[in-house]
Amino acid sequence: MADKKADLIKVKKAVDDGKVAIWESNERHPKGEIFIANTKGAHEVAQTPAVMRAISEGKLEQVGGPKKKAASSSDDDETGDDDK
Amino acid sequence: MTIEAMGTRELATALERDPIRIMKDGYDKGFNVSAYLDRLSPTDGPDQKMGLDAFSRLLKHYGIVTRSDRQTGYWASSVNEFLKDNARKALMMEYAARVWRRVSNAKPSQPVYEERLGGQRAIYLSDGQPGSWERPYVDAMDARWSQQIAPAIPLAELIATTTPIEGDLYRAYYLTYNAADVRKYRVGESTEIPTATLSDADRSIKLHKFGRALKASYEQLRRMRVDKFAMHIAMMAIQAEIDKVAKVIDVVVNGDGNSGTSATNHDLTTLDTDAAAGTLTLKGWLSFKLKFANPYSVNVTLMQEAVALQLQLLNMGSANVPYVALEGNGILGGIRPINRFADNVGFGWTSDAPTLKIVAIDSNWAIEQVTEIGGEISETERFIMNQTEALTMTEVEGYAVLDPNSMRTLDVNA
Repeated sequence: MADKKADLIKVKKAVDDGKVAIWESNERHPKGEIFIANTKGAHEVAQTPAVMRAISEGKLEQVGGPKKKAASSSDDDETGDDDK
Repeated sequence: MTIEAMGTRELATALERDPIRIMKDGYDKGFNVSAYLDRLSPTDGPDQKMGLDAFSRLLKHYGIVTRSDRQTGYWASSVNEFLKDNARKALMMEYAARVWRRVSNAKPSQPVYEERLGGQRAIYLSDGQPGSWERPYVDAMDARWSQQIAPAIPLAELIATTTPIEGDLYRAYYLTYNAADVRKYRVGESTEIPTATLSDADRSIKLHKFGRALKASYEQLRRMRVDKFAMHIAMMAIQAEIDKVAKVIDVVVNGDGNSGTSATNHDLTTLDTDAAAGTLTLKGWLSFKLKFANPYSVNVTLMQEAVALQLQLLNMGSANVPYVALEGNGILGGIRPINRFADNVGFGWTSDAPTLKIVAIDSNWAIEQVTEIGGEISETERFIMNQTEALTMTEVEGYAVLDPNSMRTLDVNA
């Protein structure tokens, strides 16, 4: 579980163009799936190749680094839900 | 160069001499094996009336029966008949390919399919005419077998056009307007006509291999009847079809790898401010459909089972029937949409769709299927030349976005 947390970063959609920035099913993501289509809030995602590609292509921007091992629950509250 | 027509016996001799060469020659010219055999030995006269193409005549020449019929006492040959020499092995691979194509080209409504292809169906199917040597019986009007062996969501429902290519990299062209040209304003005298540009700037898609291998020893294959072998191939084709539909969903939502080709998303709670995230509403659904403006209209939607259930159970309301639902001949009159409107939108449910989302397309404009001609030749060659016992059926395909405006997603959970 700790390894999985260490893999996580926070991202947000970089461009407000109404288009889907990324949709990926991967068990490494906190809920097993991410769908980022609007610029509202940050999303906690795993550093999968698709996520890293979306960052390098400018579709996503990283707004938080890998979470610390002893992250508090309040950190989770700050994280935008992938689907909301 | 004109090709001198061969008789069936000559064709069999040529195939026995070098089956790989015939297959490769066909692929080089853009034909699959059945089509090329028919080109070398055209079908006419009585054979045409009986529905036998060159491939079927070769099966007849070698005495290979592909279906059993207990009533009339016909039994399908054992696969062993196909394994006797390289020519017959080549026919076995093509027989498997024909079964594969029958599944992967299946349309939801077979009569419509036949009508749309305008009689080409016989070219692609391996079933002969009723009463013919190859099919010495009359089929039921609706073949139960073929209805069962069909993909749940036919790929054909999602594809606008198919382009055959050579090689595994395809550069797609895009029709682009500049923002001002999108408006269909009146063109004044001596002014420039708004121009659409066919653009190919750095936009390409990669093709991927879809398929399955059936690993069976020659001993196992020998004991199997051809019709049972066909069922295994059909099941493999269905699985490949499921994989392709999943890939198409991915391309619709995420784009084909090129900039600006992903779907436009709409949040349910934006379309219907009274809606709660996670619960589809009629207003949200109708509003989403209206986002497809002329010339687009949604005709295919894909979603997971939970959303499909919500869609089917949408509350029409019992106290207040919407005005649009009224028949037009009452005292209140009625209204009639004049935009191209998507009535009877097709919906398919699959676990490969995003969670709590509806993926919607106008399938006339959305996705181009790109397929490599002869992509399976190397596996076929290995099987024929005894280098493997795995019978591999593959297709090399990719999917390009034709028009991103024809693809939208509804985020039911936002």
